[in-house]
Amino acid sequence: MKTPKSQSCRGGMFRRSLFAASFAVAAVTSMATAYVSPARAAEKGSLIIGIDETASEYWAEYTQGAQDIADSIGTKLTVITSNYQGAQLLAQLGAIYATGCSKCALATDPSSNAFVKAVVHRSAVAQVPIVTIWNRPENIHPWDTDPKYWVAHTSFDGVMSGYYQMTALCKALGGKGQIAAVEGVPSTPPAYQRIQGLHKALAECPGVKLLDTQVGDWQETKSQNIVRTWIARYGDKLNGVFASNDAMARGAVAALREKNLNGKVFVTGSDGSKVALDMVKSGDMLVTVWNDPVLQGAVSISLAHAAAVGDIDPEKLTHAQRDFYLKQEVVDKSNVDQYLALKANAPKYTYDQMKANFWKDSAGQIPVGANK
Amino acid sequence: MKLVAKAGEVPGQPASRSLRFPARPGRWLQSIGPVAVLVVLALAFQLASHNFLSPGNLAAIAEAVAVPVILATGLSFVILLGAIDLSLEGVMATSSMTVALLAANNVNGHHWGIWAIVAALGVGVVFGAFNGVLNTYFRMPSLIVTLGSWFIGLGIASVLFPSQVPGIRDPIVLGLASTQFAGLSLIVFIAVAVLAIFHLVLNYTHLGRMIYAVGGGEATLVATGLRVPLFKLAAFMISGFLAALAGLLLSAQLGDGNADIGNGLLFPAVSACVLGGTLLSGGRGGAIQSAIGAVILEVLNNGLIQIGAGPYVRNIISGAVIVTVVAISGLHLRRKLRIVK
Repeated sequence: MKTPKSQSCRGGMFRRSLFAASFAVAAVTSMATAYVSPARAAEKGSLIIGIDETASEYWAEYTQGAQDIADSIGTKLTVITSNYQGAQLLAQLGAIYATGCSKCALATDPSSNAFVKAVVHRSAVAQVPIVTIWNRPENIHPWDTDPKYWVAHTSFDGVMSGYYQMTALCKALGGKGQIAAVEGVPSTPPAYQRIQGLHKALAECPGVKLLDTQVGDWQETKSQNIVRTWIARYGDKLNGVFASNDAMARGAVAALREKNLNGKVFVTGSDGSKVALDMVKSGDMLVTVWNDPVLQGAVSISLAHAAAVGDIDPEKLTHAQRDFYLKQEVVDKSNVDQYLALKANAPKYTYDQMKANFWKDSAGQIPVGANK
Repeated sequence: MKLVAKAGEVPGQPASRSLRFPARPGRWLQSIGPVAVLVVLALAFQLASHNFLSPGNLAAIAEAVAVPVILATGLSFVILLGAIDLSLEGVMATSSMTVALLAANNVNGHHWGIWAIVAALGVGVVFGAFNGVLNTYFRMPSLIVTLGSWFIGLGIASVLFPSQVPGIRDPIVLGLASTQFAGLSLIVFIAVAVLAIFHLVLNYTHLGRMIYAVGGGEATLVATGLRVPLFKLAAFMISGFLAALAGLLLSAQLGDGNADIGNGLLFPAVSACVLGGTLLSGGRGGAIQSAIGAVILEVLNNGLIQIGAGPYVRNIISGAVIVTVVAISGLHLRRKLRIVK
């Protein structure tokens, strides 16, 4: 069985694989285009942001907004990544705060509702002002939990986002048709808020029927499989897909493209990512809802920094200034060029500009019950 | 063959070691069990929804199952050794980013064409070799090594990620998904070809037989002086290669590079192997069996949407079916095992 011939064959195969291997390594190293600074003890007055992941357009843009502010005040931006794990975030904050951090400021997504209180408290103990984004449990607010250091919480209105998307679908379908919805990770506020918004608009659009809702966990490939199955199940009866974010909208369009249905079955998304804007322009997507992550990064870290250097006193702010939504816009074919231009040349924010009015882009206080 | 038969007599391992699958009632249940489950599931879903066995839906299942079949095929090689490869998702992420950034795209000026595909696949081979070398020559447990390379893969993909999702514009890469024959995309045919080739490799080559033998009783095999590490290395490289292929094909389907592309595909791949009757302890199972496991999982996914099961109930039903299938089809095997871990 073990012949010299088979040995030499395998040897050849092995050498060829080694060749392929060295080739691939060279390829990988030649195209490294981004560099993310690791967490380390912070310098005096530095800005810290806590993000969920690095390989995401949304978080890259959020970081860009915070970087703009850091550049404008001549300080360093420290980026820590939680990988959606609150415990990882806390551990890294602990490492940064361990050596002391005078006049530092933190803006972070606490990764989930469960970790908000712990993350806020960890910062308060280190006397670092903190601004949270996206996640906040219904029953705690910046003014009632470590109020001296939890400066503010800011997010985008998920209910409105879902409502905008569904309203656009209703209009495009002429008030009559059948749609299906792909939901994000069910325990996160944007996921249930956007679906809530969908139902709110659906109630005002009685001619449109929601055939099915499935969980796509924010993921492109999961959404693609779900939508592919819907196409097989409903065929011509499916007129629209409500995707709770742009990644899942991309998956939906990929599934529709397999059957040449892209552009014929309306797809909506939310986030305002570059790919989604391109697809709105090409007609593959009906609308996306523009949440400006660059602006969100600039506003959130500026507020925290303002409290750190004494430009604002958190305890003197109103509730509407401490717990607010940032504005968001519906992007359809009529206004997509404007947002593509904005994407290509994001304005470079400065701290002085933010300081003039931190709440210029606020869409109002987060209503009671929004985070239930 | 003598060698292989000897390996089977290692204490603690199932006694029967022959690779020709002799006709025994227990064995029959083991290999036919998953197929029977598949048929029962398909008929049940058809009765419940009347649409399940329509050509359109069968095509949808074929498209959805192509990539999981490729992953399960690759993973089978490593599992047959009695090892595990957890790095699939990391390899897929890096290969997806590699092809998206080297083929014609909308973020940089590269247009390597076919070489982008070669590079993406090469990434998988490198990861496989890395896993294999650490596991065999440095004697580190595959669980830890591949867990590490999983994160290395995700990390490399994150570093490579440009400020926006890279959209693939290369006609060759996109053609992998958009080219259709008989209503099915090229990806489905690639999956079938991969399955056929690696089934043959497992069953009719020296390498394949040695992989079974290593899984059956590595200690005995080492004592015979065979170059066991080389076979193990090859198994890891095949697994890495096929994971990279899976990442490449998914990227072609989606038309973009995505660092999350493998997210949530590792455990279904492991489940597929186990469902199909490939033992995690190694030495028994095969590519076809694992592929059947992957098809069962996708039939469940698809069928539960077809019959309109809610998203929350879906997980419960999927889990229950998986446990039941393994319980029934593996009963005869587990009776022989002295210990279950």
